[in-house]
Amino acid sequence: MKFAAKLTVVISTFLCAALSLGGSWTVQQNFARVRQDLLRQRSRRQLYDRYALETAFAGQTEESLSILAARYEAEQRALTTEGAPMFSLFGENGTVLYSDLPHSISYADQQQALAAGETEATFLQGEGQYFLLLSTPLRGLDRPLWMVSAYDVTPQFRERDRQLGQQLLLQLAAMALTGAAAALASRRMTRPLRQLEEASTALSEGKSGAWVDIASRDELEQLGDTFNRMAGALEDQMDLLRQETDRQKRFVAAFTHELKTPMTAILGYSGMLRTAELPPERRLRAVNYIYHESTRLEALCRELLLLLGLEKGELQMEPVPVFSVYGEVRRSLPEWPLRLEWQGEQQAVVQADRVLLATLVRNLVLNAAAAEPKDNTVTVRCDRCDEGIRLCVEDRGKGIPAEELPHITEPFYRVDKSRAREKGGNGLGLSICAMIARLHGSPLELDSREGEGTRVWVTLKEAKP
Amino acid sequence: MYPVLIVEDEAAIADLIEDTLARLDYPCVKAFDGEEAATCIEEQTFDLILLDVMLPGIDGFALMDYIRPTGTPVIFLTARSSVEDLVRGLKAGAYDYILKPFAPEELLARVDGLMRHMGKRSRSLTVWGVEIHPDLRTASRDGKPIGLTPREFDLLMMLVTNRGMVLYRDTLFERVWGLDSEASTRTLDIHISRLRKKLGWEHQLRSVPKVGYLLEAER
Repeated sequence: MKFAAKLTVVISTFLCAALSLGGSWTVQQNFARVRQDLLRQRSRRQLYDRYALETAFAGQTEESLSILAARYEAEQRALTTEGAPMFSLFGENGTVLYSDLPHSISYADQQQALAAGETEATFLQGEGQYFLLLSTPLRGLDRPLWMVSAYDVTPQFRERDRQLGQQLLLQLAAMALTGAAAALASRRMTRPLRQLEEASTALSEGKSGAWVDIASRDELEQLGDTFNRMAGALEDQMDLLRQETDRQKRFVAAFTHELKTPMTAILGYSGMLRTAELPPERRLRAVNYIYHESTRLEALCRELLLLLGLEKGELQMEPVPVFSVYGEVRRSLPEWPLRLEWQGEQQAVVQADRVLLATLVRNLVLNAAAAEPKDNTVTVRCDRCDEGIRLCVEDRGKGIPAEELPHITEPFYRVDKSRAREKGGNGLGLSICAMIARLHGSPLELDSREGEGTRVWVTLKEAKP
Repeated sequence: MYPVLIVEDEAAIADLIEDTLARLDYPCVKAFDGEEAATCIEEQTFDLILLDVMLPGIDGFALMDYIRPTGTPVIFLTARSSVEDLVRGLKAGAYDYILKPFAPEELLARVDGLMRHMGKRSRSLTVWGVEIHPDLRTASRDGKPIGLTPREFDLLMMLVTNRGMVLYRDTLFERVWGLDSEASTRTLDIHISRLRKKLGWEHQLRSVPKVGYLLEAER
């Protein structure tokens, strides 16, 4: 059952109960007063009849009683239009001496009225008519006599029934109206709930853009706001996950490629060598390929291990003079065909892992050289800035296209694949640099313009002297 | 007969494929990136294209758009082993695919099979007067069939695809009988002498002492 329907049913039920209780209570109250009045009037009337009959019966024989009673009744009927007496007379042992009561009032009813005594009134219904029975003994006579008077009170009872019917009609009309109003109101009030439900369903099906617009200025509006925030956060999370999965997929694809290419060459050439006696030049070429591809595999293995080791994040931090790191890198490139220049603070000492910092600078310098700088120069620059020491490697080479920049530190990502491979790169260099930078608490920042050159820098903490 | 186009950015592998196909006298043209390949496809006609999927510049899937109008059959070379990639390649119109790393023999067999199937190469080859049907696995001389056992035929194919080169005994045995065969290399010697007799190659199929066997190349 819908919530709106439940609300409607609950509201209507309570309203209906209240209306019918209130309505019938009012009718019954009114009728109780009417009965009271009737009783008072008819009691008085009976008293009057009793006195009249007592007087008439005084000293008369039992045989003449019925005649006298009939005469009295006829007289009274002629006199009064409403509430004319109808009565029966009983002698000892319940013998009926006279009766003018309609058939619908049975002997048993009369006996009951007699038993109830003088003070009690009995209401009777029979054959579409209502009667009020009152009983009283006739006093001051030489024998015991009882009189039961019946009064027709049908109009009063009819009036009550009419009122009850009217009340019922009124109640039905009120019910229909309020029911409709309640249904409308609850639909309106539960509209935010329906919106929330739709949005949650959309969200659970993984659809994006699931949000609600509730302006009911109550708890539901707050709930809607909270829901929107939750949906937003969830969507962000899903985006992140999707990106991460994409990255992993790219990594696996690139890694397989990186692994399978040298393996294909090694297996193929060695297979060739061990099958048949090749001419010397082909044998040499095969052996050379096997050697170079194995070297590539070995380098890939080494760098991957370095990258994995870095992910564990074990560092040996110590004060390291930046200039000495530069010297180390310079010495590690003895047959360097380009010019390597130093600029800036020679005295700067940073808090870093010496070996990793040297790897970082060396990789950046090699990358810069691969960009084929126009002036054949790679510059290492060291400046003091607000956050610490900024170590920057610059070249005036061909630069990196803007759309490639976000991916540049992903493992195996290459801007120019064939060229990079000729130079022996395997696409892990910048990933390693980014990882080293992160371990030193700094992002690896790149600023590059295609055709103009690239600047890559990290910001390191200065060591306390 | 048109050459085979090898589109592969790794020189090592391109050379390997070229060397392998040269054994069955397939002439080759090599392209090292997508653009070079696209130029080759525009300027020349090829019997077959061997296409690496991961290429710098235009990638293998994109190259298919250039190749499709020419109707040239394509075999994909890929290091990706995910089913999606293979299906994508085949849907793009590739005839077959070869996963890296591949054995040169496998490549040769697939290329040769495809070429003969497409009718680009004769269904049979003739070496020293013996006509060989690789598909039917039969051989004949002067129209008279020569009865060969399956092993003998495998051995014959190994010798034919490497004719002019001395084949090492151990490797030859391993290729024909498999790595975990119980038989000894003596079996190989027996098979060689039977082949010699059956095919009438008393002089052409030579034994090279301490090295292996050589089927002389025809001059």
